Amino acid sequence: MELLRNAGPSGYLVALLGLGGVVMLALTFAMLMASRARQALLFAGLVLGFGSAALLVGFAGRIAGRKEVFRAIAHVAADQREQLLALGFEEANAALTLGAGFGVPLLTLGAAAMALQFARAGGRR
Amino acid sequence: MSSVFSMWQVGGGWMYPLALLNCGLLPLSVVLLTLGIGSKERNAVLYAVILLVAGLSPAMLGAVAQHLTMMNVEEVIAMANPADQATIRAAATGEAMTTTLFGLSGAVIPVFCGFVLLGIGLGRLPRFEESPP
Repeated sequence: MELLRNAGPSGYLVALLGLGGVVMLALTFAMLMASRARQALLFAGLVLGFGSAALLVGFAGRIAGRKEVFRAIAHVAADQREQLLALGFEEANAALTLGAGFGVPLLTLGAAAMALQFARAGGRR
Repeated sequence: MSSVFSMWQVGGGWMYPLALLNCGLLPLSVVLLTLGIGSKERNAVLYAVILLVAGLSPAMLGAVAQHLTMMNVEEVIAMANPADQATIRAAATGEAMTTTLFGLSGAVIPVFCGFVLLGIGLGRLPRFEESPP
């Protein structure tokens, strides 16, 4: 929860995209179990889409956070810069942590679902 | 709205090609997604690959723009008063990141559409035809 609060608005967007991806992942595996190849591939595409969007938004959130940190430290005393930089970077990295936390597993599992479907179709031929 | 305008001012000349790319990619995503849904599997996969590659181009351009800006900043800093160098570097680094942020924002929708279209296109391949029960 603290991670979400530190990440700011981009964190909420990442969480929304990530949860959308998790739902699509569940649907992908449901279709895989039911041997419905076309629907499984469609949902796997959606999983990859949501995963990559979460990762990109997380990365954009990190850049936006760092941008604000650099803008802020230009206006503070030199002795406070290091401390402010460390604290600011920690907060800015929260967005990327959240984005990677959702994005990397979604991308991996989405690609794995696609590969599994291809392997199954290859075995049938 | 004012933050977008200030971002535009801070981004400098690199914002023009980035804005052109971002504005071009949004309608392109919609058009290729629509065309891909209504076309054969081969075309759908082709459009998906185009969207994925084109979608990453603004992010790459934004990152290149940031690095080129930082190179110019370092040249300027070398001639500045040593007492002001840290302040100038901090302010300039924050401003240089604008292009990367803008590029990444423009990459989200085309990449999402590209992956969705890839799933649709691959699902239409003849090997995934469902046999009747």
